[in-house]
Amino acid sequence: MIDLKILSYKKLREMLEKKEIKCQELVEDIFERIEKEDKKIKSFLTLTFELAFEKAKKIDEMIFQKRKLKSLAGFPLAVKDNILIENVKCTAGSKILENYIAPFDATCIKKLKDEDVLIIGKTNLDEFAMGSSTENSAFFPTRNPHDLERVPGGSSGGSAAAVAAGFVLGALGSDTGGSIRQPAAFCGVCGLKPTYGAVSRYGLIAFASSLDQIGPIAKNVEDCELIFEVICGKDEMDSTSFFEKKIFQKKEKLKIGIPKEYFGEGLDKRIKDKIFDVLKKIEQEKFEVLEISLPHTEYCLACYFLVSRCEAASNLARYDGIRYSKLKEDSKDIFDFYTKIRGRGFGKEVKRRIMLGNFALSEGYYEGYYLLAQKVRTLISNDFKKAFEKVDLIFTPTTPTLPFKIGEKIKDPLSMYLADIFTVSPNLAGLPALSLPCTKIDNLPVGLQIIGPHFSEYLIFETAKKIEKMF
Amino acid sequence: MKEKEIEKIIKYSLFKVSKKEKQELKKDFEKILNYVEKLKKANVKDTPPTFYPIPLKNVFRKDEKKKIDVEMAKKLIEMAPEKKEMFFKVKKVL
Repeated sequence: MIDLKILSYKKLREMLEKKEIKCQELVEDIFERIEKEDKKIKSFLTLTFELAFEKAKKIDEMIFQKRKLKSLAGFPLAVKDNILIENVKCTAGSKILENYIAPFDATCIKKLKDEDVLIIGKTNLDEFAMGSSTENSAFFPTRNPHDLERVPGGSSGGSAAAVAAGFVLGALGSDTGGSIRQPAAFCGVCGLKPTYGAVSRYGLIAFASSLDQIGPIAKNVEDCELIFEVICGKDEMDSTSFFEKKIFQKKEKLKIGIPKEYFGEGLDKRIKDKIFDVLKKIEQEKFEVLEISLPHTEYCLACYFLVSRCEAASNLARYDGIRYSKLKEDSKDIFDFYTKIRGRGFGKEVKRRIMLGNFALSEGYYEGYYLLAQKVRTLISNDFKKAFEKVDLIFTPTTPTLPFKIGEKIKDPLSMYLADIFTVSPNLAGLPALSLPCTKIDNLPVGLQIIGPHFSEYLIFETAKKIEKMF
Repeated sequence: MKEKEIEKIIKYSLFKVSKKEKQELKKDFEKILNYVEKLKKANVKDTPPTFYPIPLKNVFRKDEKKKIDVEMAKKLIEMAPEKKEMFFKVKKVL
């Protein structure tokens, strides 16, 4: 049986091209492994064997006919269940969409299908991508492959766990406040939140439209980059999409900024010490490390709460039970129908967020909450602008704690929200950020977050690859 | 926060909740609202809001007639719990 845990796509492709393995066998192996091992981890909500097997047959034929293969031919990929794949169920982890069959492909899926990836299945998530542990899924929680008693992070916890468990080489996630990077850090894999607009959001079930981005999760930086290269770019179906490949001048020494505000109260001391060890090591390898300040950091999480909840309240107004849901309700009129369907179809966390959003947008509160948050967002963005005048990239820990135990934070929403404290600011400022596994504590992975200026994805990849080699 | 205010927000949000759920939501809501109060300390004098993180300007697409995708429309109607021919069926409005 092929062990995807120890393979990169480059190696797998070599094996396919040299006919050491048939693509159809690869697919069978993958599904056998999932069948056996995902019972414990529970990373998948839906499996798409036929989709993968049909593609594998085509690839085997192309290899037999010695035709040139597409850039990601035979790449086993999982997809977060809030990204549409034509004729495949898409639940967004919610009861309200339990039986929803996607009528079309998201743009990123269309692009990946064109490059002949093998779509293995749809992965579990917190309902509507709202959460940091995948415990808010309406179906079941996912477990961390490094320790089954712990959460894989969230909301793309199913995607990160499927990569870490070796079921796939890569996965798609979505990131509104850390939902790719935080689970990547907890599961010991790489995850990139691209620059806002770099990847089309057409076909992504919206949570907060000025923050959401689709991005790749993979075991290594190179595979993350391969997926990103395919999915980025302008799309006429998403008017906010735009990508410009920035070429950065080669420098003798890259300047790395360490924001002092990210190393204070709330950060597990063991993580702090480990990250400083990493920084010491990279200082010896042509990096100049300097302390910087992002003075409005203390407002990031509160600002994110308001912006994301207001946008969510507006986006989730479309779930009225008329067009998508298959839930049935006896009701006397349309208002009664809406309230019953939404009351039953949404989980508690989704309700909390819609309520806060509606409150902050309502008459008398709009200026003091929503508008104020958008102004503070400008201050946060300006902090980063100023910082990038002095440094090329910014490094922080991805998470303040190690993966926590299942059930540990679910009853206290505020403590759960704090899990995103280091990851929300790049979303507010629209910046690209990657989480790279860099070390372990008690056998649990620790992530290093690399934040860059807008459209600096390739500088981030290049730097992350150098660091990846050191550890 | 008063009971009435919570009820008003729940009404705006269009969901029916049980008494127990309402009490729990009220407690969480107050805690979170208390946390976001810290934003009031920030000095935002003369600061414009950022609604989108990347500067965007309006771009118009070409004014071309697009073909109506009947198959897609059928698929979308198919998704609805109640339908009649090519229409969504809704409960009584008035």
